[in-house]
Amino acid sequence: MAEVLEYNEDVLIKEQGYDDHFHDHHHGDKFRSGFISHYIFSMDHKIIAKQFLITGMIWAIIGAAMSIVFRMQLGFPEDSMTWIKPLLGKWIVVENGIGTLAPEFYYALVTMHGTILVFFVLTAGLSGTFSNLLIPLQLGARDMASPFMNMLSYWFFFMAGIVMFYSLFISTGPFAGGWTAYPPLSALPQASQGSGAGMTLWLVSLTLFVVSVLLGGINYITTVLNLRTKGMSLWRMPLTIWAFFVTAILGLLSFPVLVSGFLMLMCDRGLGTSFFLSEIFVNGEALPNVGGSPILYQHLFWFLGHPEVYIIILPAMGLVSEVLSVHARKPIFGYKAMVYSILAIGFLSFIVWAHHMFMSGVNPMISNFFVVFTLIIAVPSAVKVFNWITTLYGGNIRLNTPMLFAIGFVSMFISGGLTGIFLGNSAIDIQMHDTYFVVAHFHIVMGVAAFFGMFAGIYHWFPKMYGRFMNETLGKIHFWFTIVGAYAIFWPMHYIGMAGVPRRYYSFDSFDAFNDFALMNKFITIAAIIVFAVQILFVINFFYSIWYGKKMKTKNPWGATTLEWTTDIKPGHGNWEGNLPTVHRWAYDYGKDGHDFIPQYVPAQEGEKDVH
Amino acid sequence: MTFLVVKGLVVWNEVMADVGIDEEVIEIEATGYQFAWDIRYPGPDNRLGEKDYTLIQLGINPLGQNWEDPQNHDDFIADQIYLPVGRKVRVRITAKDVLHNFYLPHFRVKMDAVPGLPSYFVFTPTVTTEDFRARLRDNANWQGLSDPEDPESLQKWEAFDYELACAELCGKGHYSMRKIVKIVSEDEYNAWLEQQNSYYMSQIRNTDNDPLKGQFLESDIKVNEKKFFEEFDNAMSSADTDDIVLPLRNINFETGSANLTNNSQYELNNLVTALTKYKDVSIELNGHTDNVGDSGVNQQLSESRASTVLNYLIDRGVSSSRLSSRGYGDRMPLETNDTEEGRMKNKRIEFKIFKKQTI
Repeated sequence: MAEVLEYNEDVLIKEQGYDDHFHDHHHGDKFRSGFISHYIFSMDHKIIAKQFLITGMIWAIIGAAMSIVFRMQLGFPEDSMTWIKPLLGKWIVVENGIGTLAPEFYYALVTMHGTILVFFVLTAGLSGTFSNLLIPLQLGARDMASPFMNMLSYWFFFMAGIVMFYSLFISTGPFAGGWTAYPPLSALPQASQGSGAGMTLWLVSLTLFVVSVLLGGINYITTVLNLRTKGMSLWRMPLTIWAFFVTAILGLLSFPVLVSGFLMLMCDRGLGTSFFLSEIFVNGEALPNVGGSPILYQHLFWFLGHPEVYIIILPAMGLVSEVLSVHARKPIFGYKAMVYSILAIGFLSFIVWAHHMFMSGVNPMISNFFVVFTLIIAVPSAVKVFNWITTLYGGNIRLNTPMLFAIGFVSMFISGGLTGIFLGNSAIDIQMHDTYFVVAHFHIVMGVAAFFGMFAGIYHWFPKMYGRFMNETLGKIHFWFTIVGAYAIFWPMHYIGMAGVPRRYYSFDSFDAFNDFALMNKFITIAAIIVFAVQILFVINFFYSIWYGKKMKTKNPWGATTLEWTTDIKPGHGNWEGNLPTVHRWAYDYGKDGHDFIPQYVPAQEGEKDVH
Repeated sequence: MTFLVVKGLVVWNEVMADVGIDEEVIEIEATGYQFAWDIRYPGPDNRLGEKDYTLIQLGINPLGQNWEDPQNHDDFIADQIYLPVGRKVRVRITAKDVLHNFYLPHFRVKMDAVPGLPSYFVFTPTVTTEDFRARLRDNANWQGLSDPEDPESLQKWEAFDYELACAELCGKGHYSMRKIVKIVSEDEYNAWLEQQNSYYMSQIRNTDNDPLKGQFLESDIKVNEKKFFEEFDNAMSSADTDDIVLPLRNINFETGSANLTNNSQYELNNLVTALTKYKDVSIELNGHTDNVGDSGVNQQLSESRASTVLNYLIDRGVSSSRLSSRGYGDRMPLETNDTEEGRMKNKRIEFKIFKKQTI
């Protein structure tokens, strides 16, 4: 049994903490006066974090429900879909009592599923939630650098959501050209119904979304650089903060490029320019546009698109690093290597984008460089994986729900990362490109893995957000069904993809080469339905626990070293009453000198060695 | 890892290399559109003709081929991809409307089709469709009826075919862009090529859609030339000492006038060449008309047309002493003047060959 280190939190923070004269200004109390300014147009980072999280959850349910509908089409193509006609209306065509999903709407569902999950759930819902919650709390800051911009960030996201949601209900249907929105398909309403008003709304929505990301990102970066409490040097920051920090930089550098692509696309759609259009004959008519290149759009898109997958996965990596360390009761292995890996991944993510385009008609010579850069990313990724495993090795592991999800993340990241080595190799990509192998790869490595990171984060920091715990039994059911189910869904897809079955097919009937996998498709669909049902269980657990969960009795239930656990159980505006904690050590003093853990605000003890 | 990268790149660069300039290769063209593929073969000249998307007319010129480019005249559009085994194939990949992807899953061939930016893929089929079916014969997965509803249908392995698909989302019919690919022996391939008709010749030639309507193609000129000299040479070598009359088939005059059309030059030049070759013969040019209009006018017209031809020959250096001309008006019809067809045949220029009598 580790002996308890003698220190007095009240003395260390309230008396010896850093006095930033917070309460000399009394506007703090006006801040949370009414219901609207407290819960709706809030400028408090903790409330905004919850807003991002709950909005993200709503979108996750919508996006996942869409996937169930198109999985039904793939798994049970013969069965009637009349039962969902009340919801989908004219998109279910009933003939002889058998309802069929219209192919246009199948593609709209696939497109919306991708857009919603990538942007609204895994970018806003993940990074938006935890950057907001943890950056000020773990750095010892009162709030974000600009709480007002932070509020705007959420409301731009909200507006983006409204516009996208509206597009689901227009008569020509939402955009149906894939989440990457490649022109000319996305530029020509003549080529697809969804490329009409649906695409206009899609562009407006995502442009609003980018505004949200940029407002948030500037804030995160500024806060990390300027509002750290006394003693919190960069090298003492928890890995979560490093991850959010680099994520925000990636977003700031890459999202504007996407918007420039969108602007050019809007011009091609509305103003008769030819950025991406050339020599097109569509719908019985030759268009006047010449000289543009559809591949230019792909470059612009993937210049965001690739960093985007790291924008999704880095926060998850940060959360997992923290959760693993806390629940293994061990310092994270190779802290500096972890930070350098994050930086290396962030840098490399900008020079690998064309690996999405090996088969797009670009000069094959170019691919040589992108293959090399892409596979170099395996190095920092592998460093992180080895460090997570080594952190677990010999740890005093608590197998609670957050820890299970964090370990699940590592498992998913390894599985998905290995298939990435296949795909990054252009020679293999000739056969794998745009098949189910790709679908399996990216769902595992950035879809499921990022969700696992997010779940680990939610279960771990739920007490900080709501002052109560989530139900542990339901959490474990959630975990086991989800990890087994996720592998059940995506493992067979690797096989189908290796056999050459292309993604984005409404039906495999017309091809002898693709229609042999009916049983496997059925299996995948059933697994997807079960996993979806279990996520509903999570949502119920989440909302039930907000009001009825087990109450948090102590400030620091996990025995963590970081500063967020030194605030009141329900921290008010400004996070700390009175002085801010000052920091004297890094965030990973677990099991040091016979002590279970030493929080960051505890000064170096007499004779203590290796104070980071 | 290093091995994977290096080896992967070596393979990549081998697979993606374009063909050399002198390399013997079959080049075909695949054009994707919503929602099918058109496959164009270069025909006997082994060259694909020019295309221009503004020339595309549905049902008339589906690919926008420029008919003024003679390389287009023998190109044909096939409903299946036929290829001989063991020969290198270069597929030129294009698209008409949106992005598509030329995907042959059995061959590991995949490349985006981009409007306005042709791409390519080079590959060599190594197993014929028949051989592949034979391989599947003993495979448990390929037994049973290919169509379970029809007891007469082939076994699965017998019905196997290579397929072409689309692998880039292109709209609501993306999943249905199938074409059959047949890999056959060199002989079967050649036999198949024989059966194919040039799209231009069978659909376009001399219709209103043909910009070359009424003009001779190079191939026509060659055929006419061959025919002319065959007839002329035969006449010269025949033992018959009677004067021989030959038609000048491919010359025309503007309606009601004695002015030669541009097309007439080829046949007349042939005649010049023949007269240069056979220096000892002299000819008489005879003009004939149909019976439409006044016969006095017809007589005049036939005379002036015959003498126009005579003057043309003199201009090209044939000695006037070897030439004479005569008009017969409408007195000597070849066929009835009651039909359009007959009248066309009656309007004509012929020439009578006087061989120099050897004594």
